[in-house]
Amino acid sequence: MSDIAATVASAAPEAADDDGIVKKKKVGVFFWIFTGWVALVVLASILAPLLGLQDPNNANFDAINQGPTTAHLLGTDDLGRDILSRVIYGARVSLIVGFGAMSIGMIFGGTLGMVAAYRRGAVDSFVSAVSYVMLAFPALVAVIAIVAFWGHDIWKITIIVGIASIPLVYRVVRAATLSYATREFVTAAKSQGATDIRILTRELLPNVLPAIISFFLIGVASVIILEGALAFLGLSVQPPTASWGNMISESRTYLSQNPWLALFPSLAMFLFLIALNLIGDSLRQVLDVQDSKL
Amino acid sequence: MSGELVVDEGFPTEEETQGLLLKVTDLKTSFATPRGRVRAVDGVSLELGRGETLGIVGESGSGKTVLSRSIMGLLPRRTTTQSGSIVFDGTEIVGAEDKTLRTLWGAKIAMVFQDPMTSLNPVVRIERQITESLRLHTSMDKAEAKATAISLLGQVGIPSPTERVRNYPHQLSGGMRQRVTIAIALACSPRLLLADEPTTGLDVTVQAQILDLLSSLQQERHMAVILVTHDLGVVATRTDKIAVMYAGRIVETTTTRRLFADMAMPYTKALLNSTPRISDPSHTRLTAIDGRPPDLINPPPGCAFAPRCESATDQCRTEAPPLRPAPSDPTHLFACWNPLPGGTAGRVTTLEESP
Amino acid sequence: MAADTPLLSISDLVVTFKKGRQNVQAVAGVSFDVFEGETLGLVGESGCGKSTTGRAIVRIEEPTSGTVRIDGTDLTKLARRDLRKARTEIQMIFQDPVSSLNPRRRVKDIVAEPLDIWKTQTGDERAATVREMLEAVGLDPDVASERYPREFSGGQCQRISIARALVMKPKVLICDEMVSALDVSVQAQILNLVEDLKARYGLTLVFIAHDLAVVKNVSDRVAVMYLGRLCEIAPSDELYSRPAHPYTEALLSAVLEPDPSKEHSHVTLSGEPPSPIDPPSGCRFRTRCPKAEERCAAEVPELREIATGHQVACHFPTLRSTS
Repeated sequence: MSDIAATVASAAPEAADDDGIVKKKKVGVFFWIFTGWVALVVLASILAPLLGLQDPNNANFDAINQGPTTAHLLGTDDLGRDILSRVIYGARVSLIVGFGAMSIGMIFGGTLGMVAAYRRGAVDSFVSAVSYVMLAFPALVAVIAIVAFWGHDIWKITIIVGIASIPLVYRVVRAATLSYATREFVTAAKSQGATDIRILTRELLPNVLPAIISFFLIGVASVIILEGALAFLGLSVQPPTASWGNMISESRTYLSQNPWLALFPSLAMFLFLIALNLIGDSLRQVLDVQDSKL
Repeated sequence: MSGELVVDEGFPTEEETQGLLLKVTDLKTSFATPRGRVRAVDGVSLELGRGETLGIVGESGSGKTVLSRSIMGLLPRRTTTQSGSIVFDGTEIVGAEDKTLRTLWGAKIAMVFQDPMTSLNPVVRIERQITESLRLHTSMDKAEAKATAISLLGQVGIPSPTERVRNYPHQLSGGMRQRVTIAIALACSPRLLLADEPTTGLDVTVQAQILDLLSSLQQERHMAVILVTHDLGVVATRTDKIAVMYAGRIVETTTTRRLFADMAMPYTKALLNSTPRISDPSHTRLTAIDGRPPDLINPPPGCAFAPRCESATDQCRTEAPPLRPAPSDPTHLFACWNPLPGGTAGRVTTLEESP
Repeated sequence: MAADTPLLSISDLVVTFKKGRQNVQAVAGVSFDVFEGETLGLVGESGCGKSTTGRAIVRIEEPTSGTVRIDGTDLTKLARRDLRKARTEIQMIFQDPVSSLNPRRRVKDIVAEPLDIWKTQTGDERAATVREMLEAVGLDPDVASERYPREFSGGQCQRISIARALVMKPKVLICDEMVSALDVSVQAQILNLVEDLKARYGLTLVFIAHDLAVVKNVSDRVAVMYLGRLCEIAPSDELYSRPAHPYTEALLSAVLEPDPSKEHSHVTLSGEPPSPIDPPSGCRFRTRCPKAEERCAAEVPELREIATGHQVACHFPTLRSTS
């Protein structure tokens, strides 16, 4: 015990009160605010048709480029469509692409990563080598090229970005799993006669999930930004479908006339991304502490 | 000249420190943590003469490592609070600036750590790790420093030092790496060497070699050594005196021979008895100490060892016994209301009853 | 089972690792028997292969050759599925108490895991077994069951590992440096606990450690390993009072006794242990042995019995008469 931190840690053992439950580290107020915001956005976008919103594609040439009014709470765009409802419907695109792509990445890349870290050996070497090659390729360029070639409806984009995220997810999950796969409780499970599947699901997964949850959320944020980039290049969902990305992209032309057109989708996207990042970070801190007794 | 162990109230005077190399007076070191203030060292006083060897014995959480770091002045300033005094060769360490401490580190006072793999820089060759200290504190040039480094490696028993000096740490075995850290520590002939668990984790034959090495170097150079360990076997034949620590305080201290012959503190005895010994027959029941070391944030009132002590009385649980000399032998200090019977430690129940 | 048939029988065990392009024989032909109810200590310095031997017995490391027989069945020949089942008969306890337990599972689930894998008991029976085991290792089930490993100290974690290992009532328990990471006073508690459990459950143990005093305390017989081979094997008291192999003598004399009057004169072993990649020919200890002669380089010494139950692998063992 030559480390001061270790001395301090041993001086204040976790189970200090006689019956000692470790005091769980609390998350701050902001955590709940941002979680609330994320929940709000998700719910609103799912329940959009039930919210009594105006038709997002309803062009009303009497009311173009208006600022916020009682009829249009966030104003209208260049075709007289209600910005509020477009922002809410537009959230759907971001959420589907974001969570969808990352889920594809997690399911395939994550499983591969866990198996590779657990089994090591030839499988690990081969898949890791392939992942290095794929990661060396600039993802954005590849995605743009494939989207331009194959098509840009929301599902194709989700699949393409999802596949593009597999190598990175693979490496992150593999690294996270490795730190647990080498520990002796895994060896102990094996020596008790547990099958590999059981070890992966019962022993490793509960340890790996908290470690990658913040990576997942930050990944969702990155994908949403990627969709925005695609929209700027005209490669995201096509008008009249609303997405945050293409709303911001279209707003460039009308910036001086109607700044609200740029402001609200930007604000929505910005707040959502910050929320995801912050939630991810807080979760990582809380869950890390629980694990750091070592 | 071997100093007397006397507990002082005030700070040392000039005359008192002249013969002594190190005088620690009522040192208290604590750390701020989220759970509260950890009182790692809670009022420690000791003295060390030039060329003497002191063993500090304790388990993890006893404060021995923090004590050794405090003596060197190596603790992180931001989170550490210190009070009391540490006078090393005339210089006050508590509260000293880094500038002052840097003139001492390596040159007059050096440390050997427990794990040589982490205390050696893995990407720097051995040669540079030794010569760095030499170039810093002396006026040697590169060639002289290299020659000194090679000679040092020879002195610590590393074969083929001229080749080894160009190696990286990972190319050496554990025992050899530890020898290298000793060589680095000795480079500028410090007056005091602090060895913090220097042999824990090494094989038993290597352990013996390293400890023998330390002993012979110490005698050659008339260097004072503080050996910090949890193993009473390590200190039994290689120290002039021993201080036993528990919960941040010294609970017993005296010359080595007297300690083993005549233990006063039940903790010391219990520590000795709970270690299995080669000389005992197989399957000897060990006298294990029940319970666990106390919480250093909220230590119990009274004697810190009372909850685990077989001879504890109500007084032990309410009043913390002070460290004071045995009636018939002032060099034997202990902190106990019910010391073990026999020998110099007589029963003293209150402070007023003095010899 | 007959009293003279060993419960666990290791024969010519060899374990080879690939280090880069070279082959390292961590275990180079080790044979010993363990009888029911006895504790065999396996002692040696780092790199001697004792931990690898323990892991090879349970096939965590795959033996390159040799046999491991438990109750007659050769574990090395078993196919995957049979091996899984046979594994429950030998359990292992590891050195690092914290890393041995899954930090995200509750103690009661950790201890019940083997029962859950093999579905050997009903829910209520399982709960009762878990309770019994936790109590047997000195933990209060009401307090401990619902907690997570991080809420416990090193010694308590080791107790939980022991409970988990015993829950399937294994025939043999392999303890791989199980007290090395613990504090002195905790170590004593755990060693006493092991003695109590041995008496209560009639356990058979292979106790691997580097601390000679600890091994002597716990074991009935002790085997000394050096660089992948066995040097000497004898009943504990016999080995420590009348060591025959020069390496054993050197080891024993290097032990630091907490007794200032014992100025130890230890046989200074010259140099460092050679690399296992390129071990010396013949007797592997000869490069550091004060008695080495030509024969030692030419011929590998076999384990020979020099007294009842006392075997040595040396061409020039120190034979002492029992006086």
